[in-house]
Amino acid sequence: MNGSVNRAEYEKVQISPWQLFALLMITRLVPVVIGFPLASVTTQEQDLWISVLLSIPVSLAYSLLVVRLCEAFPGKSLIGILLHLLGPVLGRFAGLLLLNSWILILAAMLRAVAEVNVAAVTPETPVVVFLALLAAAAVYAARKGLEPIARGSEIVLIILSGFFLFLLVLPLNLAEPSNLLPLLEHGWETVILGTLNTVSFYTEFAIAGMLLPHLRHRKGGRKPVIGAVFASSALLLVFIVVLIMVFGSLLSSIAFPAFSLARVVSVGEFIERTESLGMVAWVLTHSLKCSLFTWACAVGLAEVFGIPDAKPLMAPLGFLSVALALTFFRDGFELYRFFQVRTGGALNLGLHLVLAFAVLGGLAWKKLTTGK
Amino acid sequence: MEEANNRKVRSRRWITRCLRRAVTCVLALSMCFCLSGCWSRRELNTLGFVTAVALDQGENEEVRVTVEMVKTIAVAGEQARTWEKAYWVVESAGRTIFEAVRNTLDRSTRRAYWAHSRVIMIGEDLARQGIGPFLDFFLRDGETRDNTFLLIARGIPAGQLIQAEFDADAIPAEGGYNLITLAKQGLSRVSPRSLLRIAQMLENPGIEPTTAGVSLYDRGSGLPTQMGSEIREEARFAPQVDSTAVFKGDKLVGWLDKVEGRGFAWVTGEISSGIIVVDVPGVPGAKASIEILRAARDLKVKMVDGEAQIYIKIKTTGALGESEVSPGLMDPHENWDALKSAFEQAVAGEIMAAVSKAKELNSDIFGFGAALRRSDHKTWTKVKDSWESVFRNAVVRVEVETSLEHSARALRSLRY
Repeated sequence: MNGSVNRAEYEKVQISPWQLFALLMITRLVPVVIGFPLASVTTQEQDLWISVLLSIPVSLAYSLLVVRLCEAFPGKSLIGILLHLLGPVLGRFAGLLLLNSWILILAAMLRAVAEVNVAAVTPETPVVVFLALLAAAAVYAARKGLEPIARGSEIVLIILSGFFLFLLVLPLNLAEPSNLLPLLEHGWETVILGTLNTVSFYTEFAIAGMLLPHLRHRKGGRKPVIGAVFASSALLLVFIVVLIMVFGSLLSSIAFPAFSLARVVSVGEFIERTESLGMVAWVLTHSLKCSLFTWACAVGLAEVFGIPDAKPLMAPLGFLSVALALTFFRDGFELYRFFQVRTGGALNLGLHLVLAFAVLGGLAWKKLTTGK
Repeated sequence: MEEANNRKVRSRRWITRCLRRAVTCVLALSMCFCLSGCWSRRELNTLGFVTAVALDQGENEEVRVTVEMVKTIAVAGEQARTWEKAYWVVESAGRTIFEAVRNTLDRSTRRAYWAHSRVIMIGEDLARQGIGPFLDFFLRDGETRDNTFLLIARGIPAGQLIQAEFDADAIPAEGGYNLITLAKQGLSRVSPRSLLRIAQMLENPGIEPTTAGVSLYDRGSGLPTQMGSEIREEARFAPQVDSTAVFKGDKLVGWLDKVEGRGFAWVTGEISSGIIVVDVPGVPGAKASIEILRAARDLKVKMVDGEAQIYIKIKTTGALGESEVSPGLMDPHENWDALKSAFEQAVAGEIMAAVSKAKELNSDIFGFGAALRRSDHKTWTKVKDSWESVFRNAVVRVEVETSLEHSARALRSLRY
């Protein structure tokens, strides 16, 4: 698709189930390529893997709700469904809330890349340079439409998988399995907090609601979405286990666990100093996710305000996300708080819970009034 | 008229096409400016590659930092000046490590680059006051590596120790790194720790940190003080890794000697190899050397009536590497079994020596408390506050199971 994302073309673009799977996998794995928000939820790190396990059914239920909605309203995006179910006023309000959370996620992603570069790699480069470059790339890709982003995701997923494979295997000589014990030393509080934190990230799968209308096979959305929930959870599970085994009690003190893990790799004093591979992975994945969210936000905003062409909204969205990344997150700690379930994550979870209930209420109301 | 209009349109299209190409070319060429790097670029000729850093007690409650860097003109390229010392050092002081490190800039022409640092050496005086406050910089900085060795300089300022030279290695830190690695692999009498491991031990309840202690030995004034074509007095003193530093919390409280050091390694499961010397059965005064091939340990900690009962089971395999006399090891077979038994007793003796020393220093370096926490965290919660006295009074039982796999290339020793 070359050119504008106007209504006609928006309906024409198609993606394959594999591309949907790749986009969702990248969406979920991006937050752990740099930081690992779950790791700093608590200082009782050894129980965090249980949280990942417990989050699977909740995340699956939420993701399936999105899929079911899109199947019930074929051709409509999640924003379109909200407008349809909740009416023009409440629907617009709900849509704007959802888009607002996505724009904040977009800003947080930009800030995260800039933060790790400035904090650990290139300390003298101004933050705004990273933000502007990444946002420009995201806007450029978003203006080209969903199809190139989806095609890009296929390649990026392979690179990301290679990065994880490498990161999960090479530091095993430093792994200390005893770090995984004792289990539940301080009860379930840690585990529940961790579960909520993980589920909070899976609410980003709502983006599937913007992608499913473009799926080549209308009924083929379940497999890639369920597959993405299970595959990403499995990867997260193995990753958190390796992190606990390598860093033990230090895990909650590490700002960029994946980066730190890549730095301690030392195989036969030959394969060492591998963090540059991490940089490749985080720049690629963040660029792709930023492009996807820029596209989704622009298309969503166009739907909310009835604008026929989403393309003119993309550059202003890029500026907005850079401005938010600079002002909403004044420092790295604000970014950290945004991802934590005790602070920003709770708001995100609350929003998605309210939206889920609103949608279910809307469905019940429609059924009651129309009998369908 | 129409012809003129067409010509106009065609020429406009041609100009637009040319302009597009020109803009593309300019943009493509402008990318070249980005290839040289960014704001944070650091050129090689402005960097000093740190290979080791030493921390000592300075004056006025300051920390003295000695940074050892590679002298690139002495080691790199065809024009390398091999007669030069391959390293140079900068010393500075500050109230914090970061300040002291930054203060090196008023004495150094190169900015220190930490990614290749092999060793962090801490002086004994500073270690006795506590190493905790000095680790944060190394764990936080973007260039330093968590798997750098953290060692303690015994009886000599750390800044002096990292300058002690080796005959076979031009850069002391490289020599030191090789020395530590070889000593750990071949002797198992010291257990050097990385920065990451020490930090974990400091945070984990029920285990106290340990690491290798390094000192200097005098090779004697009669020996030539020559390294290659260079004659230097420093070469008279060479480093040795001969002890294990024992901490309580973050404070150094004592040392394990070589025997205790290996006893400690048996308990922590860090034995990789080593030589055990035992008496040849039935031949008074004769010695045999057994090479440790493999070792595994099993550790169980239980609380019984308020008393910690610790079971250490060692399973090890060795090989006879040397015997001064031939006691007829093949026939009768009892001699071979007696040798195994002597091997067992030697291992148990080393372990008990280490346990006694740790109890004397009142430091649970073996992680018995951590083992109890892992297996029974409810009991650990009850005893953790009084663990110091529980550890001192713990009953330690050692069971050693040995096997001798072979006697290398010989079936008997020389008869003379």
